[in-house]
Amino acid sequence: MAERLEVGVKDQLRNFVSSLIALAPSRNYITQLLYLIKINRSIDYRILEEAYPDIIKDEHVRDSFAKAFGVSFKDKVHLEPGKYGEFLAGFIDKVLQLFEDPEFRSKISSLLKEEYPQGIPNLAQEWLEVRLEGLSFEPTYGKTAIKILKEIVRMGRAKIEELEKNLGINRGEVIEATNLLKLYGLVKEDYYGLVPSESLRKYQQVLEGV
Amino acid sequence: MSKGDLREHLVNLLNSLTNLSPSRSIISQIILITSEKQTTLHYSFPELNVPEFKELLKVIGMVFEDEVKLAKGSFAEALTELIHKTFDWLDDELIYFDWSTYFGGNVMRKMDEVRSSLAKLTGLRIDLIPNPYLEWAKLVIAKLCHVYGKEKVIRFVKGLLDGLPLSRQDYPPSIIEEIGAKVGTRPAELKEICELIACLEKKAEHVGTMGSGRHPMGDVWIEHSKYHLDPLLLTQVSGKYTYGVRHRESLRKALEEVV
Repeated sequence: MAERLEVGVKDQLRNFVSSLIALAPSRNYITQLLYLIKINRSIDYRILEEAYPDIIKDEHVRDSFAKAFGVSFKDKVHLEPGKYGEFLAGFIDKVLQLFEDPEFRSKISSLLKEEYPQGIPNLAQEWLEVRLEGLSFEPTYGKTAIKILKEIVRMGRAKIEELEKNLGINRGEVIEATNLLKLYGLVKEDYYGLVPSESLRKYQQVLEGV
Repeated sequence: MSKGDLREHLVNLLNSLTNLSPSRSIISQIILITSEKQTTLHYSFPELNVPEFKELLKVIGMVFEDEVKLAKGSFAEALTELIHKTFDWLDDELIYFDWSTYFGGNVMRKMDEVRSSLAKLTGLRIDLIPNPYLEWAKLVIAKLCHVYGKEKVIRFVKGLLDGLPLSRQDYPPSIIEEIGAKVGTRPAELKEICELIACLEKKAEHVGTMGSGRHPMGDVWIEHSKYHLDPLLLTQVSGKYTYGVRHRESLRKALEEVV
């Protein structure tokens, strides 16, 4: 099948696919920051300062970044409406959805066998893996957060008090760890408690490997 | 992560966005230049005769009927929007609407420090920051010069750059006639060139409203053209319609470099 593709067309396809892959938050530090702000709507300045010191600590870098992408760095950091950062973060959603689509991946994989011998990556799953890895290396509450996350997945839905009781962890630590889980977009909170994010429900096996 | 890594990630991002623009990607070109008869599109892009390639375009949202369209909410549609926004962003032309307490509502603003900020962040000279709009404008102008002859295209683009803004009381104004009077090209040919570069009839996109909901002041539209150079911005304030030219510098530069 792929042999029928002309070299020029194949180059075009490879260029197109590799450009989209390079935009993924699992592979690019800039889109990662923008996408994290998007999924949280806003993030505490001090949290981001710790996570992305190279962009945020230096005043000149921060100001240039804010002007280029339209990011407001106040006590809360958010993407300014109508500006490019907000738009690009929205497009990242579309890229993740596309690379999650098995039909798309199988079609591209068969056309670009040599370039992607392992197949086209599922960028949504990869993004989940990167977040879980980042979480597990978080020095203060990382390990507790993973433990809590596994419990939430096991229960399907959990309240803070239940996590406190089931895992024997004090309330303060549970709250800090769940804040971290919310920041990484791994759990969502509704009136009845904490639930695993959609991507975590889809790719539970990734968590089992952590 | 070091500052060097930050630069590398930023340069990678800019390269990826530029590689997705129509001047570098035939896939983006095909997606952008839809709303054509399928036979015409096949003629312009022989790549579409490769079934696997065409199948892939269908998966990302192209609909091949008599006329080729993009499916609503598809990836192809999102990519078209990305291309437009990136054109504007990397050419310091991104229009957005910001709340102003002075005017008591939304006011139209432009992001005009993007390139200089990116130059600072990457450590590159400002002219080395990619400009996909300029690249695309050069290709389009070169192609049209080849088809219609240099003189007509130069006259048209110059007329567009020098003769506007036009002011009208009614909408839609017949901008083709207005420019035609200034440029002096045959009406039928001028209409073709105008549709390719400046605006297609009934393709104006409402991009924002000025003023508040209680005290509306006006509306803003971008005119879309077939090759998506989209240089015309139409504003309506208190019933008065005014055209402004976007991407002025890049269009001028593209014209100079091509011609």
